[in-house]
Amino acid sequence: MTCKILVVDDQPEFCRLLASVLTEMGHQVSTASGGHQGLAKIRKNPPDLVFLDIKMPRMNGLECLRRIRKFKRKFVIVVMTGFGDIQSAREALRLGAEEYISKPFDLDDLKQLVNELVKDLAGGA
Amino acid sequence: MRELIYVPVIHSEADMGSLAGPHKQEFTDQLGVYVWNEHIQAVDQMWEGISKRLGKLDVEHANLRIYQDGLPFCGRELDIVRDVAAHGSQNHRLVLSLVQRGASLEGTEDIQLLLEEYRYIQAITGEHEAAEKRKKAKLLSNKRKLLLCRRDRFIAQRIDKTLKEGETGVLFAGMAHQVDKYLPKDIHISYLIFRLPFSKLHPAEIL
Repeated sequence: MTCKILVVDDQPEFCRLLASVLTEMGHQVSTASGGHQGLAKIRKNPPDLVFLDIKMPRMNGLECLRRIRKFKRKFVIVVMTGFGDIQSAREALRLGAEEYISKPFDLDDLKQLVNELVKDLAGGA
Repeated sequence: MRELIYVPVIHSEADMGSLAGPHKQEFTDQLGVYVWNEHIQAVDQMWEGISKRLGKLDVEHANLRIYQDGLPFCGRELDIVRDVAAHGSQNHRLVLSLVQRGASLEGTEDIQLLLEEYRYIQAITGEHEAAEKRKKAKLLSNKRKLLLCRRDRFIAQRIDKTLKEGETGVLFAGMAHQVDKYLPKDIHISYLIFRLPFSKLHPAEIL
């Protein structure tokens, strides 16, 4: 199954790396460099799966997640963080994220996670 | 300087010892067997990742002190860890391997509070009708939250009493715990998270 995936992260190198891995896996990937741009892209072309970084300037990932949850359509959200803590994890859980992962991650682990989520999406479709 | 590596985890059936049966029953009653199997798989992957990340840390095992939620302060801590590890718990296997490399194991929880939690779970799973189970779970939900606060305070006190200057503690605690809220300020906390598969959480771990 090919998924539409949006990567929201303010680090362009990280966005590019993640996008190239996900594209190689056969998915349609777009990127956004911040929360506002991410929300705009979601409105314009709703994805199936969103990778969302927590630490971003202007609008952080949790605020972005809060706003995403107001959309009628539901997406699978993976929250990414380089400075994970239990409070942000609990907040992400409360806001309905499906996964919480910490950066940096192995590419094999990432591929395994994406395959799992895609399988769940296919099952729920 | 006292350091604590806080490892938030999602527990598997094998981690739970005598609570395993009721835990599984509570889960499958609410979410079904298929989701349970997925939960097990995701939790196994989480433990593999945590083991890998802990293995990469540059720490002296002799300076490590291990704290484990659900592990009573009773004098038989190592026997309990060995027993639960032998029943397949990846969490307890990891604890055991850290101890075998020189880390110290600390009794972490108050046994009376754990028994109270056990009685609550039994009261829920003892109901035969699904609707009754849900009603009971809702009724007990506030009591379980308060109990969890008491457990967290006790765990924080145990850490404060046993973790010495220059040592690093490692705390494995389920997602519902908030032990860090009760720790003294002189303990520097860092978090070790690999992945937390929220969609595979046990209902009791959803806050």
